[in-house]
Amino acid sequence: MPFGRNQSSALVVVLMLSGIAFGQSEASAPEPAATRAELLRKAKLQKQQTSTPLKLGLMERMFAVAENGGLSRSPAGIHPTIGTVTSGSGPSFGARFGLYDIGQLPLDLSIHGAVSTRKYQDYNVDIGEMSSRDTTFTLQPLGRRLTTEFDEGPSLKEPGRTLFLNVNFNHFPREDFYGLGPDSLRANLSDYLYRSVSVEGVWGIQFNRWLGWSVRGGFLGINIQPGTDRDTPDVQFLFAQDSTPGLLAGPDFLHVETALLADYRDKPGDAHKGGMLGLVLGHFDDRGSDQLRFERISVETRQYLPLWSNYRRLALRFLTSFDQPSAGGQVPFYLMECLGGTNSIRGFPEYRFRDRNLLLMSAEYRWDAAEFLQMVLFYDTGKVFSRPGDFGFTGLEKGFGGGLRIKKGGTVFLRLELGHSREGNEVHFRLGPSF
Amino acid sequence: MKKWALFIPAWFLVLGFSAELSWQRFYPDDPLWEEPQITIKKPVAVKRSEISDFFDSSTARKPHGEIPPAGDVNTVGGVPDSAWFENRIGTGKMSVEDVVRGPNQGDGPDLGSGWEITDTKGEGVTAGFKIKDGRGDTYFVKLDPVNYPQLTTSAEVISTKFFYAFGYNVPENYLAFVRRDQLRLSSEAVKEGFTERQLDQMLKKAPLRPDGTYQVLASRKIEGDPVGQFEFWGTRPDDANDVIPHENRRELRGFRLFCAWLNHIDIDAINTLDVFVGKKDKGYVKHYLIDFGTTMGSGAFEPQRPRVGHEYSVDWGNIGKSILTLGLWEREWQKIKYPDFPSSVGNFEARHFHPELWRPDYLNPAFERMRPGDAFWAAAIMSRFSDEIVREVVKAGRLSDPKAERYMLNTLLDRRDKILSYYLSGMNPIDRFRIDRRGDGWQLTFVNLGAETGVGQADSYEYTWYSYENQSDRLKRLGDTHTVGLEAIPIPKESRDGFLAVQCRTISRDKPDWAKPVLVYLKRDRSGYRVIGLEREEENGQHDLERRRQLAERRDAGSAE
Repeated sequence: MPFGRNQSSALVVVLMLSGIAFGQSEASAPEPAATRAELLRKAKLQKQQTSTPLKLGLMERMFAVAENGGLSRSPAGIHPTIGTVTSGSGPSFGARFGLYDIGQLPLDLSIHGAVSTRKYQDYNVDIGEMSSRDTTFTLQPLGRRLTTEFDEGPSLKEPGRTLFLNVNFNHFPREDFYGLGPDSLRANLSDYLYRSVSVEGVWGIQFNRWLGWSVRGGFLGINIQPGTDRDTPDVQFLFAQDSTPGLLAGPDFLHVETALLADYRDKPGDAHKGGMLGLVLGHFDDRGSDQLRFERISVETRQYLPLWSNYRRLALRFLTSFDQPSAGGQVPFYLMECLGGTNSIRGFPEYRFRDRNLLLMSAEYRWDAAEFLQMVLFYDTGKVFSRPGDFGFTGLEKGFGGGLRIKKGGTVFLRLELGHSREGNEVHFRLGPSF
Repeated sequence: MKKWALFIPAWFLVLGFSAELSWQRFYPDDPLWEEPQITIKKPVAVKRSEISDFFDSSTARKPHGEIPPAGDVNTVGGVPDSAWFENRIGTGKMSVEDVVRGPNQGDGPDLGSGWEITDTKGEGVTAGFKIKDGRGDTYFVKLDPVNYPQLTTSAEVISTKFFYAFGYNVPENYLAFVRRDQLRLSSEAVKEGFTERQLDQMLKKAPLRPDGTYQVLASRKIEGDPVGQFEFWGTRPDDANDVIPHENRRELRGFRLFCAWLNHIDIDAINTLDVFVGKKDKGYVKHYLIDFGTTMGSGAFEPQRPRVGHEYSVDWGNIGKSILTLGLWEREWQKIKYPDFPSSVGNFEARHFHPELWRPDYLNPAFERMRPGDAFWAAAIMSRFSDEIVREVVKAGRLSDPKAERYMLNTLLDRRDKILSYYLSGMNPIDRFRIDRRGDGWQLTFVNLGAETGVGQADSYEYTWYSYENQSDRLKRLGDTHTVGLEAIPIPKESRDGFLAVQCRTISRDKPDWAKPVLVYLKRDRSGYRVIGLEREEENGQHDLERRRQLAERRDAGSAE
């Protein structure tokens, strides 16, 4: 006897119940079909009688708009942005407007504004020749700290040049300040409002895939006011002018900075091997009193070592920076580089230590748990110091921890990290890579 | 204990059993090879989301319990021509030239008076734009990544021809070679903000050939009005012709094999297109597959990532293991030492390819429901691809490096052989039944696909004849079981007008599963006999899923081939 004859009826029921509709429709049809084609046609006609328009859910429609380039598919026009204004600002949301080849000339206009969840604001207007900007090393506005100077995005560099005028406005309402030097106390947490306007020319040239040079210079106006965090005392309440240069002054600066970047990372946004070496030289000239004039030299090197696999690696970073005031001059506290927070020693809060000079070393063990998910264990160490002679590997602050990172488009899009130090634990949530 | 179930084509059952008053298993027009279409009003156009598709497919659309047989199958296990599928190479009537021509109706875009760029390409991951050619036809143009000449465009052209030959609706895709001075911007593109300099920037990111041209893929605009994309799940409520849940369509389930062969991992609603063909209130929806830029070794803008084809993009079990072991545990695919691929081929290999363990980028509801019968249907189509056909299709990719062309050809042949070996070993592989004259009588001939493709050898074939009553669905044995050595079974002479059935087993020492019975139904009319029905014994769907899971576990443990 052939197989399974007795099972067929049960299977029919399963099929009918599973939503294959022909049988149901035909069962109720008054006239049995003479052919298979007629049977099927009847089922389709029956569906036509109950046809309703396809409606997608709200979420799907929203996702579809986002996936298809947002409100505008054109490179010109308005595009929403998501990012971070500066360390400690929280995630920011904004919009970018672009115009390209204005008047058929190599002239582009880019306007970007962003406001963060902690009410930090960042507005930029760029005008100039910027077609190669994504692939040419260019110095960022000062609102971006030194620790992220070389994190420009996932694109590999290509020979090219860019020249543009940048007008930048920053409004950072609650910058933390604990005092100067390595011995500042956590209990001395205060805050201040930092507002700056800069009008600077920016030039960048990428000689080849790995070597780029950039110059940025112009006017920088800074205004310091009481911070907006009601739970934190104002910096002028806790600290004196003698120990905190620039506390009472809101001068204008002439600022010139130049940097050279040798970048041989395989993927700048999420390097697996290779490394980079960056050198920054800066000059800040206080046009009001000449008391806040200083030079800056910073060196940063990073190296990425695969650990017997393309999916595990060690990332190493060494960063040091020296601010040298002119004779009789000082470095204003709000322009000093800092240690602590998402981009330096993660066991401490943002801006925990600041002084004229800085040393930072970080090591991260990274592994890819999935293409979109990177896990990390890290160890950070470093110090701030007032005299260049104090440079050395003693008296270092330390922190360690781990976290996870969401990757998208060849770079780390989002980080969630827990750091531990002698002062306790810190949780960091940040958009963008670490180093 | 192994659980066996019947595979009986769904139409065969559902349509037949449900006509209560005049029940009959076979209708006069069986097997149906063309699905009747009714005309409908133009549905509303929608835009699907890949993120939504990913979440739905990875959660609510996973199969649970027993998987029903495919629903759009005729009485001989075939898929009738429809708005989804057209039987092409599976019929054996496509020449090598036909396959190489594929969907292309002409010679491609006319470059005589240059191309006018009307828009930037808004979909897909590769750079490109929309153009109007000298004849006024619209094409979507894609470029290769600068460091990987021919990677995407050649892969897409080759894959398009394969998918067309399988039977799917695909766009006309041409390779074209265009110079910068043959491109100009239309006023619409300028209005959109696209500039000559941006065009230069875009072209800078594409490889320039020594003769000053760019190799591009020109995909001709599909005729009809786009009304959205189709999912591999459910039906569209405003398309009356769409009556079978997509996850139960055989051509979408069996599509898994073709995708595995060509490593087409980007299988989701986004890479499909529904177009309304006809006038506003009188037409039908035709379903297309589009965008084959991430097939074989191409990852569209770079060589395909090593994970692709081996693991879903999100596999929580493996992610958990990686986290718990601090990254020291490695997936099997992470240990693969890939050969030094030619840059125009990308990451495409056959040695570590396992047809059953191949994975698209994320769960596909139709693929997850592929039963052995669906896989056999696809394997039977694949068996039509001779070495010569594959060679000629690969040549159509016009890879300039002969080494790359040879590598791609060999990889495709090896992957094809693995697929055929796997899916033709588990079922009785006799197919392509035909009635021939035998002296003054008749014989039923067939082809052993396993033997034809070198998967195994049959020692003999056992058969038993039955008479069959169509109204009562009763079989009555006619005599003893006989054995033949060749693929031809004599039809009993004493049979009268009506129905016959023959159960056939293939006896093979090295392929025990070939002994699974195949039951073939014949109907006699004035002109002789014709084959009207076919049943194959297959494993139960749920059992098959379990087997797949076990295979995956074994591979992760390093013991699977």
